[in-house]
Amino acid sequence: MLGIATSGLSRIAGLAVPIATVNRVVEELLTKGHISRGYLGLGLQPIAIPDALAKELKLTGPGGVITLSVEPNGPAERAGLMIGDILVALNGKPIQDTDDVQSVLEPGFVGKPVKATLVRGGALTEASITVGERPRRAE
Amino acid sequence: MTIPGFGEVSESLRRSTVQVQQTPGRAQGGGSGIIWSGDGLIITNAHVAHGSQAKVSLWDGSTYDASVLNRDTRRDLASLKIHASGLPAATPGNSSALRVGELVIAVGNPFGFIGALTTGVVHSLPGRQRWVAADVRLAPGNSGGPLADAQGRVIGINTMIAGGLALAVPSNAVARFLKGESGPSLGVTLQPVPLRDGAFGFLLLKVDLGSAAEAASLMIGDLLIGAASKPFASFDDLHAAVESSGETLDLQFLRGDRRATRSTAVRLRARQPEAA
Repeated sequence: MLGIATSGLSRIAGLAVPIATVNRVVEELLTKGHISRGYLGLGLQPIAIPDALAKELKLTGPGGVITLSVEPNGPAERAGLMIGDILVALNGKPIQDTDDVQSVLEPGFVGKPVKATLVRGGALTEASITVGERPRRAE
Repeated sequence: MTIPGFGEVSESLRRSTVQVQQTPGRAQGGGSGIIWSGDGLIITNAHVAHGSQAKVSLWDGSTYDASVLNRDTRRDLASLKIHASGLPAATPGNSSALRVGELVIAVGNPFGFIGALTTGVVHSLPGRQRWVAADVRLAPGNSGGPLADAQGRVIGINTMIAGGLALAVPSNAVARFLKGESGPSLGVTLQPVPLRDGAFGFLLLKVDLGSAAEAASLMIGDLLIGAASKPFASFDDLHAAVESSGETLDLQFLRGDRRATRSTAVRLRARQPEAA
């Protein structure tokens, strides 16, 4: 078996969920009864960082994601993040888009600290965010 | 220096006030205007001069054909030109320095009364001085005419009547309109963000190169929280503060660790024309 075919993810192409994902999900469902998803408690938007600033800070890419909102008492707020902080790397991996943030929200990261590299007030700073578990929606 | 009497001030303002009529015009209607410079520049409301031509009558009864130079419907202002010289131009005042309670005079041509004058006080400065509201008695025909202080300095252009009050476009907005500026601009892209305790902020997402904001050392990630020491409470507040300011605008903002509120004086620039 390579995966589980599904038409629920795309109307155009027949897609299959890879077996590695299936195994991980099944195992978590069996042990915890639900899938935990990582959660930072941040509202983010991609942003272009001006060339001069990117050069000065020796950033690897031209962009990052800026914090528009911080969930009160959420993982990011507990780590000291504030509106206006620009996230440029997580665990040393450059962040150019909100999709890049998703990679640290995989179930394996829940409860673990991630090192966030931020541009704050024109300077680089770091924060350690302990990835929380996304609160499950009330059924 | 002698202080002119009120009658003298009024007379001088009446001589600077003109009647503006549409051409081809109806016999009735029309509005007022104010002679802004002696070489024939007239300011009125955009809703008074809607076409490219108008007829302007001076206090002495002489009538001129006027061409409409510029209109800004957003600010309801229009500039007209007549071929004349040595006209009794009004003296513009500084509308940003106005205070509630100051004595004001309005002159216009309501209901066909030429050069009718009414007095009152500055009632309020709504929208952070986007308007000058005065409790003078206006009527149709006053539109485009001057609102002046007790010294006869024009501090607004009477534009509409709302709730029994006269609303005038501040004279500083006229000055910007005449400079060909569609309005002052910070040169930034902003994201409004609700803050705690009901406060309101604007997050800087982009600062245009060569902009007023860049010259004031504002940078992306800065959070604007107030103007002229007044915290923002709604989406409109920043826009209103920019529109009603003089050449500079004091902005309060947070940066970095947020330990202190910072302040910067932004020298506003004209909005750059945008490429279509």
